[in-house]
Amino acid sequence: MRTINKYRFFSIFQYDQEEEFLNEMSRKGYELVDISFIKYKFKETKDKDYVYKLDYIGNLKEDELEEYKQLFADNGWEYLLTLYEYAYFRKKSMVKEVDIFSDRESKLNMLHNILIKRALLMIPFIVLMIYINIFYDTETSSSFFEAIKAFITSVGSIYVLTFIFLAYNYFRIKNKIDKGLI
Amino acid sequence: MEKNIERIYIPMTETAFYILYSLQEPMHGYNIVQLVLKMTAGQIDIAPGTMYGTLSKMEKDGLIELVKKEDKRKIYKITDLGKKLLEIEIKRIERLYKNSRGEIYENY
Repeated sequence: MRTINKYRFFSIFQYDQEEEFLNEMSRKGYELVDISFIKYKFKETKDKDYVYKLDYIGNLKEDELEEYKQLFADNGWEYLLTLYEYAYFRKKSMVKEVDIFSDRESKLNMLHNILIKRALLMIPFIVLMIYINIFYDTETSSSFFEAIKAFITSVGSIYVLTFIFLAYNYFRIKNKIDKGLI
Repeated sequence: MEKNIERIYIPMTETAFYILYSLQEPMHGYNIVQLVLKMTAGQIDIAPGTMYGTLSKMEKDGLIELVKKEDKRKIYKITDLGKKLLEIEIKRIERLYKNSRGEIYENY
């Protein structure tokens, strides 16, 4: 069977769009084989009825992961892989509505976990950047310090833009959950 | 401490109620799913992500405890604290039920 590669980038708060992408590929007759960073490898298949779902699992210990995978397997979900603390599952289903979560609380809980464990890691750096810019803005600073400041500021700008991008997607997903769209 | 737990869990989500209710007998996650499907004529189908998250949280909060492991499946059962919360929740549901039928609830 033919394999193809697709290149896509999804941030931590775009798992709904990533699922949609995988489901779309499935409908076109391609099943997910592997992912490495932004490269999604697919294989041609006759089975077009898979629903793909992502779950944020954080750092599960090995025995916890085994229990976790077993529970999903018992419920008919095939475990595919884990990448950047997201577990990928799929299930054969004629209806699109099957889900790995069955209530609003657990959907919000996953979103909350990503926020706490991933997105907030950015905050210390942003604080450091602001601190350096505001409190060390004097004529006495050395050229070495100026160079560090310039570096931190430029890296910091990228961070701030990323942060805004993530915040936007966080509220986009939260809104979808609140409106019962996912 | 227990008062805080009560504030977190009461009123319970339907998922939490059925899981805690089921664990009056020791069983693992998928047993619970099947039992609840049977009890509710298929109306409540607890998905695995929801099940795993709720079991972990309940274990952490001391409502349920690990009894043993069977292969890779963990068997849980309710604790005394869990029983207490379940009882409070059942009383609450009884009140709701009585009131929904237009009756006055009397607390004995």
